[in-house]
Parts: sequence; structure tokens; C-alpha cells
Amino acid sequence: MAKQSDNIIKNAMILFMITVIAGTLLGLTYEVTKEPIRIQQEKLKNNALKAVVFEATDFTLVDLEASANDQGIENLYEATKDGAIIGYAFEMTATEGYGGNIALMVGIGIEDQILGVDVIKHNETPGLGAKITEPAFKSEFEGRPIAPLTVTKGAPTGNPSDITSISGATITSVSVTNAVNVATQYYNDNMAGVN
Amino acid sequence: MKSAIKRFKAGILDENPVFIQVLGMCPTLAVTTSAENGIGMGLATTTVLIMANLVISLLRNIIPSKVRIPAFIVVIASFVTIVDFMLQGFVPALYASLGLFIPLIVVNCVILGRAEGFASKNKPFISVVDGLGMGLGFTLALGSIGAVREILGAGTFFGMNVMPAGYVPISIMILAPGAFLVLGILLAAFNYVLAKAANRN
Repeated sequence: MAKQSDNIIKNAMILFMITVIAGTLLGLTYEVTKEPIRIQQEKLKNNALKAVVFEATDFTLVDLEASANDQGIENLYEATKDGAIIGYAFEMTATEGYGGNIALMVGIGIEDQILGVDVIKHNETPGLGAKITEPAFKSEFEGRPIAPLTVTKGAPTGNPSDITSISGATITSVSVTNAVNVATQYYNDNMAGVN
Repeated sequence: MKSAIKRFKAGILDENPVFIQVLGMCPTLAVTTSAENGIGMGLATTTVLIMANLVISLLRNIIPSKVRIPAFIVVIASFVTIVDFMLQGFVPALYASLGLFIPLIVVNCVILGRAEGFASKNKPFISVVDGLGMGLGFTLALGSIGAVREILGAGTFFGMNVMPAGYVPISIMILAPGAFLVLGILLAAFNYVLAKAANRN
């Protein structure tokens, strides 16, 4: 009996030692990689900003209306070139994706048109919804007017407010388009005509 | 050396983790939507499998048999997480293509299966060879399932168009049901060919 309880304690101690060593190694790795990972994520975001308002040289974070966060607007950046505002970049979260949230950047120019859309992060199905990261889909938004866009299936209609769905990925296409609509709506309500 | 070659071959053919042992079904079905994804997942798993087998084999005399499963899981999960952090911080290009698969490796039963079934009972060198063979067998299986699904379901192979212009992709092949269909057909074909070869011998 005494032998068996000895064994239990010995087993527990060995398992404990293994978890302590593993935990220490994980902690060390986390500390060492924390800063590089933050820099990488910053870089990703900057690339997305550049991609949606590509003429801009500087981006400054501006304050949002209180209700904006509930609609999926995470951050709003003022895009400037040589000190003059040329557009805005909206960092959006689209919540109705097929594989969870989609992080997007939406660029809107002060001439009241969409400059570009870029996908920062997503979990959509490879081969279907993941096609939102391809230029063929992203470029659909370029040059569109500031008006609610709708998703249509099949062949492109040529109508400026119609976005052609990725075939087999209507949910994803609608989710991205809805997020873009939230951004243009916010722009219409708060910024259009001010400049 | 001879036993090492035999072990290596076993992982790819006679004991192929997917087609013979039917292990690791979650990544097999979930990520094989294209040849590139299948091979990416396969190679990421191979790396972890080799390292996990080595560590478990080195610790095999220290880990008491009664608490071996939690010990294996702690070792494997820590190892995968460290690789995840390292790639994310220092090799962002690789992380961009493999990052999605890394958390999936933790729950891959091929790794626990090899730790339990082989590495915990064998010397480090042969365990590493086992990891390499099993990993490449896994990569081969995922790559071929991915290739078939991509060609039929998207009309492409490694992202390049390979089907004639008029080809309408069979979307079901890159959706979940296609994974089961292709897995079943390839599994049958693999076993048929192996059985034929064994008969001839």
C-alpha cells in the first residue's frame, strides 16, 4: 500500500517537472517573440493601409463616433499626401463570414468613391471563400460610388452598384460587401461634403 | 541501417498513416482543398513528427507509463506552440502559408499515435526515421487527395489552370463531401495496388 502511494507521488512529480519545464520554455519563447510578432502584425496592417489608399504617404488614427464600433468599424485612419487629406481607410470587422470574422481595410477617397478593399485576416474555405484575397474580387470594389452595393450571382451586370459574387461563396461575398457598405455609410454620414 | 530503411518504407507504404492506419482524419479531410495546402500541412506535420518522436524517445525512460499520455501531450503541444511563435516572429513568409495549419497539428492523432506506438519504445535514431517516413507518407496522402480535389473542383493544379477552357469545376469536390469521396476512392486504390504487389511476391 505504502509502495503504491509512493508511486503516485513519484509519477505526479515527474509529470509536474515536465509541465514546469514546458511552461518555462513557452514563457521564454513568448517573451523573445512578442516584439517581432507585434512588428510583423503592424507591418501587415500598414501594407493593407497602403493597398487601399495607395497614393497616401501618411496615415493618422482619428476618433470614431461612439456607435461605430457596434457596426464593425474598428479603426478609422485619415490618409494624407503632402499634408492634404486625400481619403480615409476604415479597418472593418465583417462578422457574417462563413468561417468567422473577416478583418478588412476599406479605402474611400474624398472624391466620393471607393479606392480599394484589402483583406487583413480571414478563415474562409480555401478554394471558395478564400478567393476574396484575390485581385479579381478585391478590384471589383475599386472606383465604385458611395452608395449601398448589392451582391449578384452569375455574369457581371455592369451596374455600378452590383458586385459579382464569387461562385460557391455567396455568404463570404455578401459579408465583405456589407462591411464595405457600413464604411461608405459612415463616410456619407460624417465626412462627405466636409472637405 | 537495414531496419531504418525498412521503417522509412513502412511509413510511406505498408503503414501509411492515412491510407492504412486511417489516422489524422481531421486535417486529411479539412485542409486538402488544393495540392499546395495538402503538401503544406504534410510537411509541417513531418517537422513536428520528427521532433516530437526524438524528444519522446529521449524521455522514454523518464516518463512513467501511468502518466505517459498527458506527458506526451504536454511535450507535443508545447513544441507546436514554440514553432508557431518562432515562425510568426522570425519567418513571416513561411507563417503566411503554413500558419493556418500549425494549430491543427496539436490535435493531429498521427503525432500522438507515433509517440505512443513507436517513439516511447524505441531508440532516438530509429524514432526519427519513423517520424520522417510517417511524415512523408502523410504528406504523400494529403498531397494526392489535395491534387485530385483541386483538379476536379477548381480545374487547377498548384494554382495553374490545367483543364480545357470549357471545363466547369465540380464545386462539391472542394467542399466537405468531396473530401470523403476522394479519400474513399484513393484509400481503396492504394490498398488494391498494395495487395496486388503483395500477391505477386
